[in-house]
Amino acid sequence: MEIVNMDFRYQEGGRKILDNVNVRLKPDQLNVVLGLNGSGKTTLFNIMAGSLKPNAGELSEWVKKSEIAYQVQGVPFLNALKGKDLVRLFLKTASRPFDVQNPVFFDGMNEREQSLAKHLWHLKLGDMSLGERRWLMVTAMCALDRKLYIFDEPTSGVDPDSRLNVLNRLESVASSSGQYVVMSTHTLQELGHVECHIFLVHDGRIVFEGSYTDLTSVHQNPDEAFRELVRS
Amino acid sequence: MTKTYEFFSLFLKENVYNKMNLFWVVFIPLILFLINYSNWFVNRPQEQEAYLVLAFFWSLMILISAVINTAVSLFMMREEGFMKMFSFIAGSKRSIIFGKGLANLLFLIVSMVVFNLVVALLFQMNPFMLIMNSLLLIAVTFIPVVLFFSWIMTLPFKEDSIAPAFSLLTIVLMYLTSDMVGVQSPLFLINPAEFILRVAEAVIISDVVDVTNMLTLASVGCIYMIIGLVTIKLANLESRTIRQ
Repeated sequence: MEIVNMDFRYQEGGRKILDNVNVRLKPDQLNVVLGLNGSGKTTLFNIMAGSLKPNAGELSEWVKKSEIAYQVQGVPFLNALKGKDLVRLFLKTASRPFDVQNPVFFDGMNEREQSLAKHLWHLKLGDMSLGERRWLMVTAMCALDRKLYIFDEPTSGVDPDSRLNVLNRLESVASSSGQYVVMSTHTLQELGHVECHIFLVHDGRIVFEGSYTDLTSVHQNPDEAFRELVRS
Repeated sequence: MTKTYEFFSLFLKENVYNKMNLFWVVFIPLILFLINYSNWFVNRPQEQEAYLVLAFFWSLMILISAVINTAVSLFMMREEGFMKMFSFIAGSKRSIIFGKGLANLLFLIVSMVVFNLVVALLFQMNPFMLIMNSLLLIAVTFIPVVLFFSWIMTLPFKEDSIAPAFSLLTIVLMYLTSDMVGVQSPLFLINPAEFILRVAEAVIISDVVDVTNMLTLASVGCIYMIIGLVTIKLANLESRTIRQ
């Protein structure tokens, strides 16, 4: 999936939010979009999802809406729902099979993930930590079998252990054949734990593209590397 | 159907757990009724007159359910990102909207039964007739009125300002009906509260079948539904005030 020479502005004659952007998503790696607040990350996601139409440029291998899973930040759910209710909601509304007794949902998880999933299965959302809720939601989304997965800051506000759980799940889906996984984050250190391809959006342009190793080649601290890229 | 059922089931649970819904749909109309018609304890009116009064409160319940519990709630779901996320998961927004409408319809039916049982018990009226008539009114008016108000979910306002504004509007609409203003005009049918009251009068209270009136009401109901279906088709699911 590739975005070529794309421009976007919200209003005719207004400021360009994206300016001649080129992005080629890697199908076998976790794609990560970085940028300052308001740099155009969510706009880029909305264009990938087809929610916004660009003013110029093109998107090759356009993915249909029914083949996209798009996780939006901060969607509230009823606290009384149990883990299995949330998973059921995601799977059944996506016309995926759901069996509460013998969940296909657990397939493909490692032992640690299975143990966490079983723990959350009968737990109410109100009794889960933020990290557990995020992990469960991300895991349920990953079970939807889509071509393109978009996660808008899935690790925001989550403790380090849960962050890694979420990232490992995303990495695992990304390594499946033919699926694109793209996410945004402001916590750069976490990216050192996964195989990922990074795009840094600044002033409407992609100012960096590469691996975590490339990003930290000059400054070992990724926050410093980020700062230098957006200041240069 | 499976998708709609799943959303219906979720929203029904929300209705049960959210005590404010019960407060708005049952307790507010019941309290208003008891305050305004406490003299019925001493001097109960004729059946026809009693139905006319009760139809006003049934209409209020239908209106609250359509505006606050359904349309404003869908607006909130758009602002919170639920609508966007699940329209991708389910493939369209229709099953979410229909699931919400059906859950509120069932909740309204139960609320109406509770309201009428309390009234029947307090004023020694026939509970069966009260319940049947109010359910008939719901069957005819709820869907057109909910669809009519679907434009609310497209409004470019902030989430925290819309709920109080529309709570107030619901009361205002009830007081802007021809019976309250004292002037009869078909123009009042722009107001869904007037539509519900006229249906109540034509279908439940009146002994005479007025074909012209029935056709007018049927046409208005169809126009409401067309407005709603077109709005739902064209509605933008992105928040108009928050980036998602």
